[in-house]
Amino acid sequence: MSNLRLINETSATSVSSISVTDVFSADFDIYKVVIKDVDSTAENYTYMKLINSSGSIVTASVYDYATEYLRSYNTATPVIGVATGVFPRFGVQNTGTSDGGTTVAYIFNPYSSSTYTHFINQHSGQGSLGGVGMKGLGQLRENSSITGMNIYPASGTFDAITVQVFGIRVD
Amino acid sequence: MGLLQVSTTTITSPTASFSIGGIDDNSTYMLAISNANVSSQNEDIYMRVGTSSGADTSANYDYASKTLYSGGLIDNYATNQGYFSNIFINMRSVDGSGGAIMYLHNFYDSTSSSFVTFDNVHTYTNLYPYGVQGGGVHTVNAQQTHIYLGYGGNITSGTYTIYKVI
Repeated sequence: MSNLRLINETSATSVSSISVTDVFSADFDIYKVVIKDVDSTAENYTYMKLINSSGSIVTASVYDYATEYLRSYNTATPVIGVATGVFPRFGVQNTGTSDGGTTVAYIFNPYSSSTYTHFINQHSGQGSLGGVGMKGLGQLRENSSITGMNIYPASGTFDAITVQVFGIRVD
Repeated sequence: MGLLQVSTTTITSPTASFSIGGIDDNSTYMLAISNANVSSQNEDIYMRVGTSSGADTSANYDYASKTLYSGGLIDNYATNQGYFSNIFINMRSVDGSGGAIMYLHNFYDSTSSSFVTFDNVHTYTNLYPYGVQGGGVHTVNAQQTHIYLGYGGNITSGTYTIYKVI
């Protein structure tokens, strides 16, 4: 049996955001998150916030990140932020079917309340000018127990989106 | 993609260096690290390749990566080093910790160099997230079965697991 275990798969259509809840637990320390088949009503970035063990979306200014924004039609651009209220470069959304592409992220130690939650993410998609990609990382700079994620478009709504969460099991 | 665990080590007390083995064929392997940290501020965690007989300490480690950091993006490269000296750098020994997903290629092939991809993140000493994304090569045609970690301070925590990619 593979040590990569599918915990949850959630799909939605015509939504302003999608939350995957109660997916991070003491059972795993590392999670692989795949966001795919993204279609939306606007071309923009996909944002991500974390959900704590009380079920509340963390909205405080405790998100730090560093992303290399990659484009087939222009030079790469660093996008960095400290003490923001969101991870604003978790992916890209676009108006064509699945044009938002796919984000693959790894989340480290979200459930532990004794260390920060970290992530690394990589994205491939397309915008109106050509292919786009991202390579990034970030942290939630607070010691809190995180159990889920909230994903939403910077503008418009998602026509379609699927989020898969896998746990990487240590036996 | 599937993963089969071949070995794991959890560090709970100060350790200068340690090894993880279990590489026994020409498959691609994945090294997953969670909750890694060091005993004092600004200490590092480096990496070497080796066998059950010990780590290869020769100056044959090259790497090229991009450091993503909330203080800015930095080119990170070196040749002929005594280890991959960019795994976790200037760690913050409290609050934060380190995580990584690294793929290990051609380790078991005695006719090839050993290749590593880095995808790491940790909390830098000034509280910002910091990580290297790139690749490295150990430029020796030899069979490697183990990863050695440490050499930049005392490692105090972390779970370090090698999976075979299936």
